[in-house]
Amino acid sequence: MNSPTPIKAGFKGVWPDVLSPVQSDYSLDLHRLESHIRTLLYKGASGVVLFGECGEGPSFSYDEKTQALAHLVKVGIPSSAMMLACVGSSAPEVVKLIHLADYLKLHAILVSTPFYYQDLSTNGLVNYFDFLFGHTQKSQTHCYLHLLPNKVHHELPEAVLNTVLDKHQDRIFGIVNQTGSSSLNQDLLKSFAEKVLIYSCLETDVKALKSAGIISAMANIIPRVVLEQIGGSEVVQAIQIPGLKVKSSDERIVEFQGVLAQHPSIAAYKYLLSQTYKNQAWHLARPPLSELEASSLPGIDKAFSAFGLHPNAE
Amino acid sequence: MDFSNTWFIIDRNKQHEVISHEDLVKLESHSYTLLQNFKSHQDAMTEMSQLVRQNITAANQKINHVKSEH
Repeated sequence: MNSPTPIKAGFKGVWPDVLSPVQSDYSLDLHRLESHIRTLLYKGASGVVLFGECGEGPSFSYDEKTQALAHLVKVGIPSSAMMLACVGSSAPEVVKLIHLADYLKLHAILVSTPFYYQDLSTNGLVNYFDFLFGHTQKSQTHCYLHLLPNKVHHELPEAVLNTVLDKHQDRIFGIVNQTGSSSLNQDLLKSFAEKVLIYSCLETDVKALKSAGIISAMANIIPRVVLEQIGGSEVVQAIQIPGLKVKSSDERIVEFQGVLAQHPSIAAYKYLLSQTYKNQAWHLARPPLSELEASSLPGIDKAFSAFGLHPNAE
Repeated sequence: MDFSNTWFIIDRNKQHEVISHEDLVKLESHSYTLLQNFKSHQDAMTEMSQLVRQNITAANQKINHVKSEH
């Protein structure tokens, strides 16, 4: 009788889905990116995800990604503290990104479904992953299947996940659910918990999933609060009024997520980071994204201030 | 990652400061707000000068706004 394949150990800790700073000509600002990553690592992040959903991955070319990663490695950001999101519509382009991750010995890659303008069949999706893994057979880089919001990406049906996991189990270390759906976490746990680790990108789901790690957009702004979510302790409010309830980190995060959901998320996070670093240059996003409208700012400021954090507790 | 020879921009007493890691660890934890970490003193000073320029621009805009109201 065959014993089940043991589940591979996946990434641990908080991995911010790093925002990509741009200059006034919309070129990537490598120095600001480096400093942001250094600051996140100093505040306790285990590593970062580059060019993911928050990192405006589809807006940057292969050459720009190569240049950025080479710069980061050159200035001393550990390769083992970086994951690369491999998003694209062209399978050969994604293969090039996987080779790049191999060459730089990055911690891992996140592979998502391709962008496309028509429905994709089960066979088509399985063939896509076969192509990627077939053309990177010597790769040693850990791979995570990356589920993104289905308004921009095709869903990865359970049948496809099952087939891809069975065919490429030696390469896949986990499934990262960044769709924003908590119920999908439960479905993934039911179907695949015996095969791979399931990660959620919703900060409030971490405790329920008992994940050892999270890829978090919010961690760009409040890495220590997200870290405490994993550790199970609480970052308390700085200002507490006798007689009034002190809100837990969970409650504050849920409220904050609710406010952010009313705005374009990347622009909102960039605005908040510009406030955190007191540098307006962080506002900019590369077209087709744009900055937040001025009328949105007071609501976001108010929601963020509700965390009431001590200095350096963010 | 070793931060021992790196530099930081912090906010203290409503002012930005560039400070070494060695000096940062000597400060009371709630006496400042950490903004960013930099590999070198030069990188930190470059960012610092940009922050100062932005503050001057913002102050000028406020002054012009007040002037235009009178």
